[in-house]
Amino acid sequence: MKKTLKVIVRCILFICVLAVVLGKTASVVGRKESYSKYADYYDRPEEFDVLFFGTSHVLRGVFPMELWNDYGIVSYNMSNNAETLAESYWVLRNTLDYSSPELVVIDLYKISMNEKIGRDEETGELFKEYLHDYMDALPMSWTKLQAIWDLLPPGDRMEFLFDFSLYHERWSLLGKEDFDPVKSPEKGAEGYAEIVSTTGPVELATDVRNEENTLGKYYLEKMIELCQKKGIEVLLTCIPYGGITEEDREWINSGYTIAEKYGISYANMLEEEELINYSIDCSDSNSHLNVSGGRKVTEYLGAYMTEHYEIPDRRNQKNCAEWFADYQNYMEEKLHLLSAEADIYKYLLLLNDQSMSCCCYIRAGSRIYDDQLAIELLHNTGSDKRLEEARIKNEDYLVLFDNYTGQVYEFVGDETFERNVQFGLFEYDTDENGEKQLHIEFSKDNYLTDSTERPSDLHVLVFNNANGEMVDKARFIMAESMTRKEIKMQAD
Amino acid sequence: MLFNSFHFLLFFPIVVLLYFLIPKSLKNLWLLAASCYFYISWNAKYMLLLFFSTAVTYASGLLLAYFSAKNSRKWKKIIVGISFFLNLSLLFWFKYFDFIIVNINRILSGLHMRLLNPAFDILLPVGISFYIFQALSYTMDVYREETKVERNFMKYALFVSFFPQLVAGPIERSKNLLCQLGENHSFEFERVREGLLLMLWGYFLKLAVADRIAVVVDTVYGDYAAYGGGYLVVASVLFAFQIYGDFAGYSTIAAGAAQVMGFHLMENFDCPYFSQSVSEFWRRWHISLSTWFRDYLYIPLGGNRKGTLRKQFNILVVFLMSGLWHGAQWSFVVWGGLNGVFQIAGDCLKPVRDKLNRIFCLDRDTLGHKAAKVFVTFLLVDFTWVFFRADQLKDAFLIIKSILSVHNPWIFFDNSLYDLGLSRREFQVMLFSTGILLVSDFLKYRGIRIRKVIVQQELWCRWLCYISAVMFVLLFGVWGSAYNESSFIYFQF
Repeated sequence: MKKTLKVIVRCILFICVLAVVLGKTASVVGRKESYSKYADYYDRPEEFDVLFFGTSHVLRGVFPMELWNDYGIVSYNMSNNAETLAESYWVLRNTLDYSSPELVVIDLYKISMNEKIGRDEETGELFKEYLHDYMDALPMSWTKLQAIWDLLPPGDRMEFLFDFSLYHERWSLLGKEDFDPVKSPEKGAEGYAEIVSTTGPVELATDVRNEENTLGKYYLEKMIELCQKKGIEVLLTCIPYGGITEEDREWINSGYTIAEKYGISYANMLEEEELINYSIDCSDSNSHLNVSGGRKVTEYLGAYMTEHYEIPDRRNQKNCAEWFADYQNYMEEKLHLLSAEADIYKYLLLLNDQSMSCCCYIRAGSRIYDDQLAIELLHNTGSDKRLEEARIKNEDYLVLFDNYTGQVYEFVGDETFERNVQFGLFEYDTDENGEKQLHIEFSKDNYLTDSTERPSDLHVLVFNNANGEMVDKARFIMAESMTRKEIKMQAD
Repeated sequence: MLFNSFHFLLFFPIVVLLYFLIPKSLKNLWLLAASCYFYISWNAKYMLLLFFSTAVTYASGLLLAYFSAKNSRKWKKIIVGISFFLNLSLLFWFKYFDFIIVNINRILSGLHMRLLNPAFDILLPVGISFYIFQALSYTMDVYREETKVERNFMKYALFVSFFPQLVAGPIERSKNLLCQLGENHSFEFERVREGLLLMLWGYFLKLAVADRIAVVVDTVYGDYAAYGGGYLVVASVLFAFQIYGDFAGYSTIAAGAAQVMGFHLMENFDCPYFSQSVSEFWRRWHISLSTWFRDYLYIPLGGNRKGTLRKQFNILVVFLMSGLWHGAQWSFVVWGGLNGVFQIAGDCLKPVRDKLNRIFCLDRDTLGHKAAKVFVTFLLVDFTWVFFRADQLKDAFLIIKSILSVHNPWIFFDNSLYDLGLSRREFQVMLFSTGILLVSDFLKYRGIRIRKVIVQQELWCRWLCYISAVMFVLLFGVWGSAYNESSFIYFQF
């Protein structure tokens, strides 16, 4: 009997040691995308007031850190690429095991979907990899098991129950980030700086609706009922995207019927004609929004939620101090991406950011005046009619976007400027040789000096609104072919 | 279900746990039910074939015992004949019918005639060659009165369908396995541990050696026209270890699983690549099949009792049959034939070799001499594996032609080998795993069993070895979703 007991204890101990080693190994070889996206959420899941659910449209269109900075809203973007409403339902079910938000925001893009998981149109294969982006970081629970059983066919479940079965082959790909994983500072969002011009949605009255029942609608109603049962408010949205057909719009309009049925709001942003500039705010042929479009949507949603719901502004609360540190990290990441960006168009797109200010100078005769996209991006950043004036006259143009005060200062030709702003004393004039000069805070350095043989087409100085520091200096020389072969150099 | 499926990893512990918990009277019934479930999980319909073969051989055993008591040799021969006819007809229909029709049509096409449309597309029932041979061995053993007749149908059915060795061997003999089915097996820690270690070694062979090598071999053989010369040499050498890892892996898992429950299955592989002649290779490779052919074909044909020429003829017949057993294709027949020819040539050239040894004063006991023999034997065996692996006979000839004619030795130095489906790291780990297999076999050849050495160590050292081994297989083995559970090669036989 004693021997048997000894054997049993040894076996149990051995299994425990093996399980620990296996668990540690699995966490090293596992893909880190899911961890990166959700680490911040699982660190403090109970503190979020607003949670966003939906597809890549939400992923790329709602930036919780901007909502925090602008409105003090504590939110997390729970959305995933290609996520169906069936998946969103299970994401919500699992999320509510950990969180008690005031408001749940659900995007309706996949309302017409009749499958639980999306499929590749060409190969017909399930988009399992996108589901991994959510499931991998989700701790094992009864709700997670239910989700796996509901969403996946039997042959595909094991890789979600025990993802080591999928990722063990990653041993040959291991790198530093696998041993020291990096958290995304964007609270679940993903910003993209690509620019693709597309068309806006077709016009259609909101009462033209496709009322056909779909799996998407079934799960959407389940989500709403679940939230209402728990006393959580629900906001339906449709985040804008390009190339929307009449048929798409009929499906999207059916959201009004569901909103009316449950007495909830529906923020259909397709109806906001001025919100998105479809020639510069989209990032790919699938018409996802880029950071510029995303910031506009985020701003719209922030205002909407503040107006229609009692979402508290947490900026003055002591228990949200970590959010200020998180925002600092987020800003650093944004500034890092900006200074690393060599593409003039993406650079100009990233300048459209209320958390930073910038000063742009275009010399007389610059090729940039012939580039419609660059001009449009400058307008997107805040340039006004005087840019057109400088362009027509082909003269020097300087603009200071002071987003700290919300002021825009523009100068054309030989106009001079001397003003003390948040970032120091700006002095802009012409020297005795006719060269333009920009000095900041009595510095002897002329920030418009060119060290290269060929003069730059665009000078940019970027400042952090929070502390007034200059965080990037860049010069761009446009290529003669007017393709994107421009050269970016660090200013001297 | 496959041994490397999650299904089996759930199934096996449940079967074992209940096997030890239930009363002795129910143990065989439980194992029979588990074996039926194991087989049904592939294809329920083919369970009927297994039942048919079991019933025929069971009945033949009873009748043989009856006529044996009456001393009727004539009726005994008739019964054996009927049992063999019915079982081999089953095998013929499912495995060789298409092959025969295609070849008859090929001959008749010269006369612009056609016998039948061969497009039957019969799916080969899993493990049919294995369980039919096992069942027939029982008929022969009862006929020869080397084993007692089994009157308990359930026990006999379990002998034929015992799940660890049901679908890919080893082909057990009634003398070894049937008697073990009556024993009472209780939980014994040392035996269970030994069985689990055997299974772990089997998984290593299958997942870390065979399936990793398969990526390279499939890439090269799948497009041999694009990969000439050195690539085919590498793939052919690697295939020798792939098929060894694959088949020995399965047999070892089977032996381990059986041992956990208290059954001892025969050893199927015994360091085959350390053989010093082709005939020795066949005493170490797929031992259960080799001995089956020896006992039930070679010896009845006369063995070596009817002169040298007849002996060589018998060897050739046995190996041609062995080739055909492996698959209904001419490439397998040639593979078997070559192995037979090599053995006959080895016999014929023995006096020449002896004379050369005397002339050059060679000492056959030196390490160098033995190593040279091992190397030559490996080359001969590996040459035959080209026919085994090639999709068709003509492909095998084209592959050999390419090996001899395409000159590209630089591929061994310019990293080209890392473009064969495995990255540099994966390729290196594959070579390391193959090295472990060779070292282990070498130690075993020298009488050292690694498992025994490990279990004699202190607890911390044992656990370190066990956990390292498990983690090695889990990390470096090819398994799981990306792997798609590719079938064990030997299931098609």
